[in-house]
Amino acid sequence: MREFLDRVAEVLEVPEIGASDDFRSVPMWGSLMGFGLIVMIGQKYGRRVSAADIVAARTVSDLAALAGVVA
Amino acid sequence: MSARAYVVTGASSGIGEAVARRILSRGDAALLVARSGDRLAALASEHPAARILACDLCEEGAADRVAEAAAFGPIAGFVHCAGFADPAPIGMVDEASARRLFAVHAIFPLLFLGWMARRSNHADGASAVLVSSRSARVADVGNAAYASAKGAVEGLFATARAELAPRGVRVELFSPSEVDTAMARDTWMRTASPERVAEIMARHPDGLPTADDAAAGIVALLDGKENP
Repeated sequence: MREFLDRVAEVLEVPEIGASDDFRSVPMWGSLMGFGLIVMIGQKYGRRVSAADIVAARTVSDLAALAGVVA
Repeated sequence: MSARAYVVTGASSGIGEAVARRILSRGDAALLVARSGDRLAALASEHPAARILACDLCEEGAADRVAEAAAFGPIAGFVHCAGFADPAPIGMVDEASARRLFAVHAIFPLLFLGWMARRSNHADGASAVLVSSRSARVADVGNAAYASAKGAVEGLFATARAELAPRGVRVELFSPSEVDTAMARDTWMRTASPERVAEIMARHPDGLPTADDAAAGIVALLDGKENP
């Protein structure tokens, strides 16, 4: 989980982020960052997540579930 | 008219498979090339005039391997449909993936056309169709590597058309916008926002063209004044 949080923080361009945080609350949030999350999860976890999956997710934990990362 | 010999890459799925089916169904012969030998074998089992070659066109030496397999007769036509897309924001583009994109989209046809240009390797009235994409010229988020590779195809097309015409090979470019293929479903249809997908779909009031619709356009370009 630690590694996943670091990777999400890197995509979202913030120093750190917590599992229960709303990932859309970061200062630079936008659709390109949502796309970046899809790509990161594909490259690092081999999961083919869709934009609809990201739309339905709320917290970083939800993203972890999409990536198959257990808390 | 006797059967003519064609080379179709990317023939195991999508637009390439539809092109292969059209060529084989009219009684011509074709060498079908793709990574997946199993899928090619299934297609070849339906058509005795099909030859198959399982080959990763991203690899060094791929053009030589295909040329060797294509030496069964002077080639009447070459259609290069093999390719893939791997959308990512520019800062997240994977180097290995970007190199493979250029290899399959641009370097393979560059080298294979060089082989086909030799007089003994092509039939009279031969033609070649390269496949580009609207994304080579129109901005869309996430396409940096794919659009760059397709841009390289367009540069290749311009030069190859000029160089090969005097040698008797007509080179054509097919550059579609969105087509309903497995690649599309796994790339922009999956990764673009629902609003963006709706915008794209609105540009196709009759629905997205199918792989076979695109194949019909490619075969028309391939034939030119032949098989009118």
